[in-house]
Amino acid sequence: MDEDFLRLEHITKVYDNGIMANDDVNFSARKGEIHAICGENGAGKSTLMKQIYGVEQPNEGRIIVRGSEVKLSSPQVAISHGIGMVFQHFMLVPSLTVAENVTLGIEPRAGLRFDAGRAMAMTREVCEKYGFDVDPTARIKDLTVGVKQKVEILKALVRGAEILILDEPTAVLTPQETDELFAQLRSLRESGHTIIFISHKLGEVKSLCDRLTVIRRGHTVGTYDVRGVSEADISRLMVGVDVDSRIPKAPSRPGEAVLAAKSLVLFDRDGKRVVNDVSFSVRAGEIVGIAGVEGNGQAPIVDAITGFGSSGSGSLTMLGEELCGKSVRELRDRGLAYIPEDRMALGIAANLSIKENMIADKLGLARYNKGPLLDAEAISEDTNAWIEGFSVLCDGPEQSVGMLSGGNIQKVVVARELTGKTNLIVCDQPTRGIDVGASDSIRRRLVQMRDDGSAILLVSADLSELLSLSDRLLVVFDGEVSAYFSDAGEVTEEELGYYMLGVRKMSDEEVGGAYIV
Amino acid sequence: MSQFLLALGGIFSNPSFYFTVLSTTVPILLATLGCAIAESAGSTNMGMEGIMLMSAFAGVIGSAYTGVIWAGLLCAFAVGVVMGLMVAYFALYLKVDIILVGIAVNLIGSGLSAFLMYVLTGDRSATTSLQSGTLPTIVLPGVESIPFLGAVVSNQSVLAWVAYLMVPVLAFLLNKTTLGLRIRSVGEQPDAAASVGVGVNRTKTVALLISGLLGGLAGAYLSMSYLPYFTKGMSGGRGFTALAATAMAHNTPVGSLGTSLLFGFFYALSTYASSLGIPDQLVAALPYLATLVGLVAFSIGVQRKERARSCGVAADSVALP
Repeated sequence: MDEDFLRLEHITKVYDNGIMANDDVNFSARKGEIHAICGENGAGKSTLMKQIYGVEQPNEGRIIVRGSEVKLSSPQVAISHGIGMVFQHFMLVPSLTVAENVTLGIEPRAGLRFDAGRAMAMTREVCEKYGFDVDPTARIKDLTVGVKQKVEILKALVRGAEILILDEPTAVLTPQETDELFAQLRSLRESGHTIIFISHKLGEVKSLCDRLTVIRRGHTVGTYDVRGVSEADISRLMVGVDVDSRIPKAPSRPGEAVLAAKSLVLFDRDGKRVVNDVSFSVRAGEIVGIAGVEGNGQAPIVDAITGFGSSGSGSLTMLGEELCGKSVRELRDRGLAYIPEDRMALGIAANLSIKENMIADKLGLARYNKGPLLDAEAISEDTNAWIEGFSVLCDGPEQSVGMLSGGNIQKVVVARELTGKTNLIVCDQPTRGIDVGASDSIRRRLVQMRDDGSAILLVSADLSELLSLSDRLLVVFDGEVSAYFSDAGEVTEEELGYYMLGVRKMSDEEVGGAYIV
Repeated sequence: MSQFLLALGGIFSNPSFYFTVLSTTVPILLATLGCAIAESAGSTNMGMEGIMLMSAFAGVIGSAYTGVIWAGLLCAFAVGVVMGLMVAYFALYLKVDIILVGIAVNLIGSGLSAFLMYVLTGDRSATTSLQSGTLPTIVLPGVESIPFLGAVVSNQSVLAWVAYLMVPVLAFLLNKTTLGLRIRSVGEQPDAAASVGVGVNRTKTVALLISGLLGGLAGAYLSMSYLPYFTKGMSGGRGFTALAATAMAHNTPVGSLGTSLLFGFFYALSTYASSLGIPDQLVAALPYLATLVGLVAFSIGVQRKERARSCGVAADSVALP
C-alpha cells in the first residue's frame, strides 16, 4: 500500500523559449490516494502534469511507474501505462454519442462495422462499476458541463487508467456538480485508483485529498499530509516570500472617479455567474490593483470594461457614461487604454511592423492623415520617438513585431496604449513572462502615468508587482471581492494569500470602501 | 404563356425526361458523395471539377488505346485516386491551404486534359477520332415492359446503378463503420480524435482517397456513358455544383441524393430548352441559378439555427438563480 505508484525524480523542463517551468521537481503518488498539487499560476503545475501524460517530455529526470522507469513519449504511451488525464478544455466530439466518444480510438468492431451495441455495453459497464450516472446514447452537445466531465473520466477509465490527473476540475462546475464529482473521486480511490488533483481551492483540497504537494516557481516546496496542515499553512507555502522590488513612488493625489462599477454581476457564455455583486471605483491619479487567483472573476471584469462584451447587470461607468453596449472605438475615443493579458492575440499583429502596430489605434487622428492618405512623415516621426522613448530594442520601425523578444513586444504594446488618450488604463498582467529590465521600465512608466493624472486598473498575478504599484487594492475570490485595502503599502503577501484563496473574507461593509465617487 | 405551360406539361408527362433526370444526376451524385465524404473528414475537396475532367480524359484514352472499355474505367479510377491523394499530400503533409490546392487541381485538370488531348489525338475540342466506346447499359427484362417506369429505369448505364448504390454504401461507411466514426470525429474535433490516438492526417487521407475515387467514377460516366468521347471542359461546373449540393445536404449521403436529384432535374430541364421556346442561354443557366438559390437558402437556414441557439444561451443566463 505504501509503495509509490508513480514517482518523478529530479524533473527539469525548459521550454524552447528559455522559460524554465520545472526545476528539479520531485513528486510521488501512492496507490489509492487523492493527491493534490497546489501552486500559483505559472508555478509549473500544468507543465509537470503534461509530462506525466506524455504531452511534453522532461529535459532531465526520471519518471517511474510501478517501480520501473518509463519514457512517456505521447499520451498513447501514457495511457498504456495506465495514466489518464482530464483537461480543463474537454476533448470530446459534440455530435457523437457518449458511447462513441468513450470508445473512439479503441472501437469495438464486428468485421468492418463499428459495434455500436458493444460500445454501449462497454460504456454502461464502466458506468455501473464506478457508479456514474451517464446515458451512453446521449449526444455530447446536449449534455451539461458536469456530465461532459464525467464522460472524460469514463474515457480514461475505459482505457484502464489507474492514475487519473484532473486539471482544475471544479473550475467549471456548480457546487452541486462539485459534490457529485468528489463523491465519485472518493469511490474511485476506494477501488484503488490514484487521483492527482490540481487545484487552487484550498477548501476542496482539505476536504477531498489525502496528501498535497506544493509547487512554487518551478520547484517542489514539499509534500504534506493534508490533516497536518491548515489552509493558512498551505497558502503561505504557495505564495512564499518574494524578493522586494519596490518602485519608488510618491503618495497618490486622486481626483474624480473615472471608472465606477456598482453591483456588477457578469455571466460567462455558458450562463455561469462569474462576477457577483462587485463594486469599486478607480479615480484619476491612482492605481487600483486587483489581486486574485486566475479565474476568480478578473477576466470578465476586464472584458466588460474594455468592450469585449459580456452579459450581466449592475452599472459600469466611465466618467459618468455607461460602458455597456459601447463599441471598442467609442470606448477608446473616451480615453480607454488597454494592455491585454495575451499580447500575441490581442496586443499586436505579429506580422505587421513596429510602426504599424504603434499607430494602429491612432489612424483616425487628423495628425496622421493628409486628405485620403496617411501622412507617412508624421507617422515615422512619432513612432521613431516612441521606439526611443520606450527603449524598444529593434532593427528599426519597419521590423515586424513578431521578431522581437517578449519584453520588447510588450514595450510596443505599452508604447501604443500610453501614447493615446489615457483617462483610464486597464493593465492585465502587464509584465507577465518578460525580463526584469523590461518589467521595471513598464512599471515605472505606469507610475508616471498615474502621476500625470491617469486612472489605472491593474490586474496581476504577480503579488510583489501589485503591492509595489497599487495605491488601493482589491482581492477577488470566486467572483466576489473578498478583501479591500485602502492602503496597499500596508499589506503583506501572506495576508493577501489568505484572501486570494478564500481562507478569510472581509465583511460587506469593509469591502464597500472600494467604491469611492 | 399557355403555350409555354403546354410545352412544360409535355416534357413532364414524357418518361424520357425522367430517364434524362436520372442520368444527368449520376455525375453530380458521384461528385457530391465524393465531396461529402471529404467534407465529413474536415477537408473541402475543391478540386472535384479537375479530378472529374482528368478521369474523364483518362477513361477515354485507356479505353481507346487498349480497346477494352473496362481498362478505360480502371484508368479513370486510378487517376481519380491519385489526384485525391495528391490533394491530401499537398494539403495535409505540406500544409498548403486546401482550397488553394483544390483550385490548382482544377486549373491543372482543365489545362492538362486539353493539352494531352491535342498531343495524343491532334484534336483541339473532342476525342471524336478515337474509338473509345461506352460502358454497357442494363436492360431490366421484366421492368422494361412496364409502361412509363420501364422507359425511365431500364437502359441506364451500369455506372448509373453503381452511383445510386453508392448512396447506401457510403451511408453505411460513414455511420456504421469504425472508419466512418473516425472520419466524422476528425472532421468535427480533430484535437479530440488525436488525443485518443486517432491519426488525423491518415484518416483525412483515406477520406480524400475515397473522394478521388468517386470523382474518377463521375468523370468516367461523363466520357464513357453520357457521351461516347471526351470534350474540352466537359465537366461543365458539375464539380462546383457538387460542392453546393454537399453543403445543402449537410454532408450526408442520403441528403446528397436529394440535392443531386434537384440539380439533376435542372440540368435535364436545360437540355429540353429549345422545346420550351425560351432562350437556350437562359435555360442553360438554370442549374447554376438553382445552385445559387440553393446555397443562399442553405446559409439562411444555418443562420436562423445559430441565432436560435445563441438566444437560448442568453435565456439560460437570465434564468439562473
